[in-house]
Amino acid sequence: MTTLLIRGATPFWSGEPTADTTVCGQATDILIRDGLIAETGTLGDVRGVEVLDADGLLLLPGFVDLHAHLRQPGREDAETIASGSAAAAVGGFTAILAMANTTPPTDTAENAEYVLDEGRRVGLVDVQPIGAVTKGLAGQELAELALMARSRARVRVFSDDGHCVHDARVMRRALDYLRPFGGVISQHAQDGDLAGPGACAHEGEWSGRLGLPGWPTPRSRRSSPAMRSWRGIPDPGCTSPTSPPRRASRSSAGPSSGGSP
Amino acid sequence: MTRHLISSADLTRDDVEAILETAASMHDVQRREVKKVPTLRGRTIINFFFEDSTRTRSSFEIAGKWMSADTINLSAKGSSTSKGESLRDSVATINAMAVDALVIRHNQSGACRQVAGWVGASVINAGDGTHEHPTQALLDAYTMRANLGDLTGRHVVIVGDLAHSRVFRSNVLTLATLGARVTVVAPPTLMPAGIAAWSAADGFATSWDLDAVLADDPPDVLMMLRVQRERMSGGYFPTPREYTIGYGLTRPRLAALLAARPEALIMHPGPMNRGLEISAEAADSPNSVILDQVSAGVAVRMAVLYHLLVGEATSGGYAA
Amino acid sequence: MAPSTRPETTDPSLDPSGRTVMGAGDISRALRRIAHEILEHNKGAQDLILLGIPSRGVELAHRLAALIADVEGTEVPVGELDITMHRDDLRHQPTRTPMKTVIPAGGIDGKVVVLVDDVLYSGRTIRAALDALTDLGRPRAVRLAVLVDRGHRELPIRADHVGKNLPTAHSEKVQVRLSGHDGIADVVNIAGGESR
Repeated sequence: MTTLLIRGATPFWSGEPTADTTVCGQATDILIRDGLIAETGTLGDVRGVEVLDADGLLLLPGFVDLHAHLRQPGREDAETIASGSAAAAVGGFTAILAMANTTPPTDTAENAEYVLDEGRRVGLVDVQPIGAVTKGLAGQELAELALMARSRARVRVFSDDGHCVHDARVMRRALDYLRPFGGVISQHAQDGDLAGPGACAHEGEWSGRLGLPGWPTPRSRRSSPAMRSWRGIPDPGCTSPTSPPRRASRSSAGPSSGGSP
Repeated sequence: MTRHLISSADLTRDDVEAILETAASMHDVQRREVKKVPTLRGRTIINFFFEDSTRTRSSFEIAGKWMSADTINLSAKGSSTSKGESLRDSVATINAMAVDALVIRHNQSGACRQVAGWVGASVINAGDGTHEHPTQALLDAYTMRANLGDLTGRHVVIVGDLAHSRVFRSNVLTLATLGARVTVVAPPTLMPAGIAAWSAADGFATSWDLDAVLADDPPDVLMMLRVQRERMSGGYFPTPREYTIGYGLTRPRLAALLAARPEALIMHPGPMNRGLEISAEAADSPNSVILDQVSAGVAVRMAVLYHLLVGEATSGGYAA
Repeated sequence: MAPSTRPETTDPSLDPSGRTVMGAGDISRALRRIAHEILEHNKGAQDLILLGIPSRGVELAHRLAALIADVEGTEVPVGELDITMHRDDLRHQPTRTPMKTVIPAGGIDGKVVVLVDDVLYSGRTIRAALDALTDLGRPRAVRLAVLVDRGHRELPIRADHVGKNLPTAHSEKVQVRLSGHDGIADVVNIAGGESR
């Protein structure tokens, strides 16, 4: 492995913010040897190393994207593991979790290993497959969760993203079944009965004016009786396009999916 | 005039007045033995209908033909669309044939606006999803003015499935442009999302109670919208009976309306569900101008074609 | 979006630099003569219809009808013939909102139609009027009466009755104003020309 000297970077994680600076910590040199931070502080000349002038730049830890769609296998016209990895690397992400709603879906150990291997072959960032909760993302029978967990891909996050696991009983079984290997479930929190496949806008004045099928939100119909039962749910204060699920409290064992499928 | 007619909001009051005046002249042409003027000779108009339609498509076709344009009808069935071609590719293919106007009916809201960005031809919205149907609003306004004169201050009540109605959306815009007062009535489940903010911003009233509206502020025009029986399975209302009792123009409601406003107009964009949103007595009463609406359709569409396609070629496209 | 423009001839204002070539008296005498000519040519008012071409041709047609009624004691039917939809220059002008076409009861079949317009110039308006007439029926004969013939014909068209022949330059404007239409005294002016 190579040795890299970063000169004058401001690490994001060091020190406390002061009244007259907006960034944390003080500029420092960082020597990286074999992928690990070897030395920090003001370093003198080091011979035979690559030097990166980071004066005035922030040094951040690599980001992890918990919700990426790499579309491979099946929709390589839209995205591939290679193109998604490259985009992630440019954006400062060193690890991405690939959602399972590919064709075929990542619902077996073999499929999970395919994604892992392809990610390694590309070699830009860590590509970690997310496994499907149910076979074929159909929401009915559990996928081979344990085999995926025991595979080389070591799957720990499971999601039917793109589809909501509607059946509370299926969701409960999945959550139970994960306990031996400590997995988490990421729910696609969209109730298809409230926001069907045509939904393409936040429900509200403009979806009404434009005649677009909307995603209901607690705000959009506060006065409507249909939505009154939601009032017990705290206002998320965000503009997530997905509706709060009716069974949210039971299915939120893992981080909820934040983006659209 | 704009090059396209996508939304009723595209039309100023002057535009609407010009179109309606022209439509009146065209209505005269319609009554002649020779129903043809050479105005659009050499122009090509394509009616591209991705959704079934009888009256709108045929009236656009007749309008084009009576103005001597070459009018061609395409429907999604039997076109490349049924072979999986995208809207963009279908439209690009037609655009490459250098047509002058594209009349489009599509089941997706916003499709016409999209198409307008892709072509050199004038695009006319003949109904896009649950968004708008501007020529319907124009022919409705034409029918109202033919019977009532100036619409300033006139009270128009629109009743029915507002949530899924492009006729309502265009009408509310055109009627505001012409200075009419509008009240829209529907059960809460058939009101569009965000109607409270929308109606407040645009200055029209909303109500869940048709009888109260008829009693408190009897309308000059009562427009009943089609209610699709399919909406029942969507749970928008429990039974046709309950809908009719709450929101239909029944015989007693007709009597109440005519007692308060003997000259009130009864309108319906068609096709009607007799017995559901409108009773036979109301549909066939002397106050009904439902067939006038149909007959105005051709004249108004001739006027729209005239104002969009005639005049100095300033807009590029294939004008020559 | 700009409103559709009306024909510019409806603007009642006169170019102040113009000179008057016909006053109210001249116009009145010319119309009276034309009324006599029409009757003489037609051997009476039998089967006559006067069709004015909007907008000022309509007022002229009504005046001629009144003059004919004075002389002959017969009410000659008057109509209006809008030719907007038949113009051949629609592509080269701002869009005009068409005016009314009003055909007297009984139609024009077998009648002697006198087209009435204020100014005869290129002849294209009259060409369009003849086309429009074809769609309305088959007159026995069509004649043309104009208040002013300013020359510069582009088509083989000739007026049967002319109030005044007025040699003009292309660059000049002939402005006709009629009391009923414009709310000012009858006048025919020529403006522009030298400065262009």
